[in-house]
Amino acid sequence: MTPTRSDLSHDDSALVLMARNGDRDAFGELVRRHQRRVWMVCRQYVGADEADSVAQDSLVKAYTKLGSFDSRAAFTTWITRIAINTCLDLIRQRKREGLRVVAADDDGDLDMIEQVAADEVDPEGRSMQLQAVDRLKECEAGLPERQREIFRLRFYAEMDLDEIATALSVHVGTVKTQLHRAVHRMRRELGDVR
Amino acid sequence: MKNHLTTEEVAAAVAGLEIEASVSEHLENCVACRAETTDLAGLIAARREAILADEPDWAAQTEQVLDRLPTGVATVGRQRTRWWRPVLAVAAAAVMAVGLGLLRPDRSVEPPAGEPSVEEILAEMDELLSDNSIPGFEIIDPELDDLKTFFDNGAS
Repeated sequence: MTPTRSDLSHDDSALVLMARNGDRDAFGELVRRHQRRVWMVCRQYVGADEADSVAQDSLVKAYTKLGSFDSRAAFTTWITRIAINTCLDLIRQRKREGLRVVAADDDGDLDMIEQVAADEVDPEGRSMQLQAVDRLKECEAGLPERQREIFRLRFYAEMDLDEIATALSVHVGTVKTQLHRAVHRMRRELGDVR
Repeated sequence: MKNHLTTEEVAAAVAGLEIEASVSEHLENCVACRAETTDLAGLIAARREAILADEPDWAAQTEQVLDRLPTGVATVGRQRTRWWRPVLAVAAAAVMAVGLGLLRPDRSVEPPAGEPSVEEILAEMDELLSDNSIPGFEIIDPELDDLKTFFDNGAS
């Protein structure tokens, strides 16, 4: 049965079906449901400045590829994969052109951390938290590429292990191993974070 | 009771990986180990929050995405242009034709010396067939002329 326009409460597969048939409202609903995840993923790969535009590119690309979506898969994983591929394409293109790729680590997170911390803790505590988060960023930047990627997808994009495995086309055991190594290394390097 | 957690066990707990029952039990009962895991998890969460503080205006993003959608039905995947298919078909046909010798520039076969040509043989056959003096097939059993009888298998 083909869902109708009033069925925006439907699951993703039904919305995909509607969007495939040209229902832009249905696609708008899919965007609203998944844009945060898509943006967060892009944010990890291309940095804050470009995350929004690359996220938009990914969402538009997803629309044009809706026909190839296999409804047996989870839409969120499928669209995450599109976002990752869009980011990697951009990074490769930038490298070919000899342009610098802005690392997600050095694009001014600290200002935001200051802002968040200021609302929550006392000045001394804020200072300590800023230092701790700064050290966390350094450790993160020092991780091997794959570990860093999986760490960020797990904790910042809040993807579960199976989703990461599917999105990166690796075995879930690989995800577990790399994630464990990443967190273990951070724990060792950060020492007592209190 | 289990000793304090190793850094590997703390890492596994923070990462949300499977941990042994004894580790889980220790975490429930040991304030120091629990604090160690929650502090690291809290630090990661603080960084995530900081990143999210940077998030765009979602409603505006949705509008911008919808404005950028191509018009028409989003069926690219279903109507994907497979330009190589006709090319492949033509190439396959050409290979088969070459294999069968159909594309040779000169397809005429000269008969060996002394042998009649195809055209001569066909003309000879035509002549034979048009000669009414050659006896044809005759129905030698008159019963066979009656096809009903011929095909009667006893059912009628």
